[in-house]
Amino acid sequence: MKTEPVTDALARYNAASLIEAHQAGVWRYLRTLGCERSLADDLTQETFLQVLQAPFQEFSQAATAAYLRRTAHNLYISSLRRSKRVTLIEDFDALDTEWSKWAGTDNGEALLDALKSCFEKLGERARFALEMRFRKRLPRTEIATALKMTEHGAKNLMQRAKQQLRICLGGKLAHE
Amino acid sequence: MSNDHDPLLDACLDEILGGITPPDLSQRILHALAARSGTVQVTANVNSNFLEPEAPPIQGVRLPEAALHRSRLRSRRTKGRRTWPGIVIVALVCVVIASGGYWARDRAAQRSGPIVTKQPERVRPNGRSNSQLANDRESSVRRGPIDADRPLNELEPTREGFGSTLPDPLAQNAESEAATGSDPNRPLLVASSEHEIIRAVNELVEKSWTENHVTAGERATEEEWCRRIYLRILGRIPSVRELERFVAHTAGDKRGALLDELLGRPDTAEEYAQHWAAFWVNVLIGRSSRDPSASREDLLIYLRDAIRQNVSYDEMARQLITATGSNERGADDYNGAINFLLANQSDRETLVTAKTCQIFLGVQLQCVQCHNHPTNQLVQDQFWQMNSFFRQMAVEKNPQSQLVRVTNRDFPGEGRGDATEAEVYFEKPNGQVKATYPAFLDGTELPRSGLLSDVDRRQLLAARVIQSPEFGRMMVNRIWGHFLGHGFTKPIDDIGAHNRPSHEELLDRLASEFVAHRYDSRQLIRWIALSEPFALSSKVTPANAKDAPELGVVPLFSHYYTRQMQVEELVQSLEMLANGPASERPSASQQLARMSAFGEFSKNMGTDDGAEENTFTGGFPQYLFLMNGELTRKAMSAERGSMLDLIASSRMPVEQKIVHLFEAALSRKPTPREAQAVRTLINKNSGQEPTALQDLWWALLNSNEFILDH
Repeated sequence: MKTEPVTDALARYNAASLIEAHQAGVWRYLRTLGCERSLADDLTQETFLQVLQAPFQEFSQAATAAYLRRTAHNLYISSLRRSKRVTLIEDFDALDTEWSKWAGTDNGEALLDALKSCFEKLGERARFALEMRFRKRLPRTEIATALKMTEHGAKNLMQRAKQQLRICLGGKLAHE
Repeated sequence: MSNDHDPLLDACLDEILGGITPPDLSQRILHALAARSGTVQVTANVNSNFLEPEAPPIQGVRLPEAALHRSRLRSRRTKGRRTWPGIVIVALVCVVIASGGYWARDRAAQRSGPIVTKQPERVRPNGRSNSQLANDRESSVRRGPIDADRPLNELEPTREGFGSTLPDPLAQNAESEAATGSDPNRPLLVASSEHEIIRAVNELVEKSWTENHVTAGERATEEEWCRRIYLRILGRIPSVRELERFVAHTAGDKRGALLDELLGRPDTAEEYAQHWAAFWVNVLIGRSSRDPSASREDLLIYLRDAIRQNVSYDEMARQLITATGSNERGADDYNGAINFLLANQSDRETLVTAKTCQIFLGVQLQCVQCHNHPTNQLVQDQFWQMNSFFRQMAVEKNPQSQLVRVTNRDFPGEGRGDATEAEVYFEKPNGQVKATYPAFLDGTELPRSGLLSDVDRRQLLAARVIQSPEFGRMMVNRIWGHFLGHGFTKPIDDIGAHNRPSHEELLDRLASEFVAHRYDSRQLIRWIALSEPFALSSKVTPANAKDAPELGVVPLFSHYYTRQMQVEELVQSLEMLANGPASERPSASQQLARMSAFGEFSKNMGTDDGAEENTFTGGFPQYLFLMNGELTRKAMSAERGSMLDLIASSRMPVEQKIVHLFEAALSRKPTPREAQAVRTLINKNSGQEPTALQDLWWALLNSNEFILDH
């Protein structure tokens, strides 16, 4: 392979292409790991900076995505250690496998589209509970009150809703 | 993973239900990458659909540690802000109400350009639009109910402190007005007479005495006033002949006549130019060396020529800010003024931005290079808006000859490469990257093009600087401080609503008159030198003892403030004593050699504003440095032909010789007690009168009074 110097503009284009192709996926991955939004922003930036400032060979988009996720994960773990916070991810490998399977090829676009479709198929109470949980950020107690059920009941309702979503997603993504 | 917590699903539900979508971090990342790295090499792989970026590792760069620490801090701050949006809203409302309309001007016009998202609209697989991923301007600004990262004054409509008190100054000419967008229909200021101006100065200062229950001290003696004038205007003490001629002058306006002589006569023109050129070199680039490519000597030559030719202050400022050319003497485009820019070179022209605002406008803009000012109204955007004006400037260096040339070139901007919208990027403390364009401190937005064929940004900046009311105020404050020992603000180059002048009405009046008199520095000097505060004795009385600015109180100018001579003044005084006032003036290089020795007393602090620490405090080691120097030896010498030898060998009675030595060193006659002490000294050394006189001379030059301006 021939190494040749390139103009700053071209180098910038290469970096910009890489960022455009993968930034959403890295960000979502970090959110999946449990990052707050601003930390996800910062770690996404640092992931690309670290990758782009070190020798890097791109073989395929999937490989690059995996490399970026691994880098992002390491940065996240480092930040947790520095802040002396306990890592909440019980089984990282399983999470990574699942992400690679469901979202690794297109930064999760298909997954989100499928999730929207699956969400519409949920029952009304299940949808209502999840909307209050994720859109309105209400605590479980308020959700239970709104649905006129116990807190335990609200918890079970949301768990079952998520299970249904997973089953639906598995089916949809398997066919695509 | 447990059903209770499903990280992947929860994150996805956050996005589709909670609206927490991935932001477009492209520009932020690219900017950070550009800031941290150099060139990037690319390895071509014909088997890949992508060019494979292969960036060499950056030496010494450790990204995650510090960056993540900052990220963590930002995260905590941002998290904290989001957690308390209601309290922030209440606090902001209280600030607005309590300020009572403090922010009176529309802030909207002063905002920088939008937060730029450079990605074109693109359609993703499954028809998902990019707009759902990339933040538009509004959402990127809004991080919650309140974006606490936005500067306060974005919420408030006005910016006080710029152009608020003075009428618009004179326009240069119609052509420049059209180019700069200034209003040709602005009324010209009417220049008052010198008598009216001086009377106004005296009345306004006296008003402050009355208000502060202070009584002015007695007037200085003729000799004291004469010594001050020579020190302030020519940078040296008067000779005996000059002193006696002034004292003996019997015409009505003897002080005005002396000023006419010092400011206008050909025989003092060179000395005047030399002194004020040194003054301005120190102001513009300091005493200590900064950039090796800058030539202090060539800047000194430029300033001496400009002052000798009585170039007006506004024109000198314009020449300095817009300077182009070479520092090679003999070159067609030789221009010593470029050394102001060269000495203040820095990455992205940040230092010259700060120095220009500090020197010519009295604005400490360097404080907001990285963040909004914590105590005044300046915001980070303003720094980079002003910085944009310097981006067409280019410095070319010949690697063989080391000669340097400053030119202008098209500025394509830092992002898209669209020179018609040539933006400058800067990073806010929270990591957000913003784009901005040229805008003056008063918020006036100016053409965004970076093409020289469209606009010469530095010419535009110079015009705006000169038209700004702060331009005249800063000059008045500087010259007043030079003459009276203290300016109307402290520090002298920090004027604003946060640091209000002690005599604001006086400052404004003098500034408007300075402008009306077409920025004539010599006129300004006359008004101040002929004013009552400058004529007062330095003796402190019980009635004005509380006027003690050296203790931190606001100066009232009820007595002259005694201070130590500047290094240059001390040396020029010694030179006059050694060689006489009519001796040939030193060349620029000789003057510079002398000044370079004094650079030992100044240390560049390496700060954003290029501040210097001046360690010339008159302490014993520095006295040894000076008093054992060649110039001092020569001034004290009794060698044949020296001043001391001429006096000692003259036929004057010894009493007259004593008076002459006192007048030469201290610009006054000895008191009876001093005269008696000297006579006693001489009598003890009977037959050795020259030795006794030399001892006297040594004692006079080593006295505190000699080194003081009182």
